[in-house]
Amino acid sequence: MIVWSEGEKYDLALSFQEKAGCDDIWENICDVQGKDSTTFLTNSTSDSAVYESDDECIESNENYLSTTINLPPVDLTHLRDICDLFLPERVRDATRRDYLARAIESNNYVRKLIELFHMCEDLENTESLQQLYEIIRSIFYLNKSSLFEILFSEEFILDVIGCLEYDPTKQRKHREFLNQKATFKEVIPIGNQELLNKIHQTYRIQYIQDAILPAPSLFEENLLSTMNSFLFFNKVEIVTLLYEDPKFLSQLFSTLKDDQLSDDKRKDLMLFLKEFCVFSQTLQQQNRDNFFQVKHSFNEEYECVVVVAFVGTCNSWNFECYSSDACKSNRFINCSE
Amino acid sequence: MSASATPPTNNRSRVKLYTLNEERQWDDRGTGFVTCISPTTLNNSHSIIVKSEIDGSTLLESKIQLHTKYQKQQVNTRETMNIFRNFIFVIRKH
Repeated sequence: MIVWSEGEKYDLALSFQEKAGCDDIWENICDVQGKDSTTFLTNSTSDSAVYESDDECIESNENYLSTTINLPPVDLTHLRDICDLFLPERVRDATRRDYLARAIESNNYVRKLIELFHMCEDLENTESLQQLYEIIRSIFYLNKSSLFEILFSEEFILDVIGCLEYDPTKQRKHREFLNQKATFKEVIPIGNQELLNKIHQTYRIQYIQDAILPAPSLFEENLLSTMNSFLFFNKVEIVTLLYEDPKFLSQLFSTLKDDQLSDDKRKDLMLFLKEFCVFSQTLQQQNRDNFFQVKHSFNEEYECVVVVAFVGTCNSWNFECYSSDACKSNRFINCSE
Repeated sequence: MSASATPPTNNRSRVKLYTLNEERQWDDRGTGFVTCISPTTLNNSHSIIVKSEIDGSTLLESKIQLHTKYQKQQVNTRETMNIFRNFIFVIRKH
């Protein structure tokens, strides 16, 4: 999707059927504007804390704002200065937010912050930890997908969640919860490691969204719209990988058909199938066709399961669902959440 | 308008056009095929053109300005997001 404004209030959006098409037009726009369309993550290993902007930024910005943002060094004495980078009046301007985000990206700033975070935790330096909370939270609100890529990376995500524990108004042990209480249940064993990682990452991001940074208002939700998108596309990928797995759905249905299956397990599977169906309805048309093709091949044998699962999707909160065998024996399992 | 303004009619260039209305809701302005055109004798700027897939009429002709801030987003509506909210929860145990 490409979004822009023309004039004061006229906002336009082009939603592409295919990502490749979006990339085509995006490249064109970048060419015309003299920008590099591939700029995303610049893994600069330079220790320089000064971000040197590209020439094109100066050109497109008519020197209205300083294009070079000097990030303070990451150490205890500069934490206040770092917090001040995100003062409301300093991040109000979208262009400055862009420069700030790019400076953070290209200076390994998140890594340095996380290193400082470890040090502060060791020293039990609460004041600094609360400043780090403020900084990490502010980086979230820059709402940049390139920064979310870093924050949500396998390497940093738990430490990022760690920083977010030091909310001065309510300190909570998120990492303990995620590590000890939230164990993953595989309704059907998943062999694909990439898929498993994606599921774990998605779960943690979902946790951040729901438990750590819940949007108090629609306005703030918009401020984190990129995190929503990040989650959304993770989920699309998960579902796509699941239905492309030739064994996954067949195993799901044959397990459901198994007489020996415990009610608990059957309930888990039906809940999963329900979510899977709901989700598939909102996939792009092309993916959806594939999905229903896969489903169709199971339809004859497991018709009852499938039909009931779809009935289930219509009443999203309270519904009763049946397995094919359970139907015959008039047994049902309550799957209300 | 030059001949190059006729977009290829394939899925890759198929788009939906939305505009934001006064209630901050996105209005669907139709589906069509998009292309970027280079400057011609008639029109001295680069433009984004969307032609309707139904009748080929021009749904959008927008000059690419240097100062316009275009954003590439992987965004779906809030409503869509809510549908997915619970999806992942079924794979975990409390």
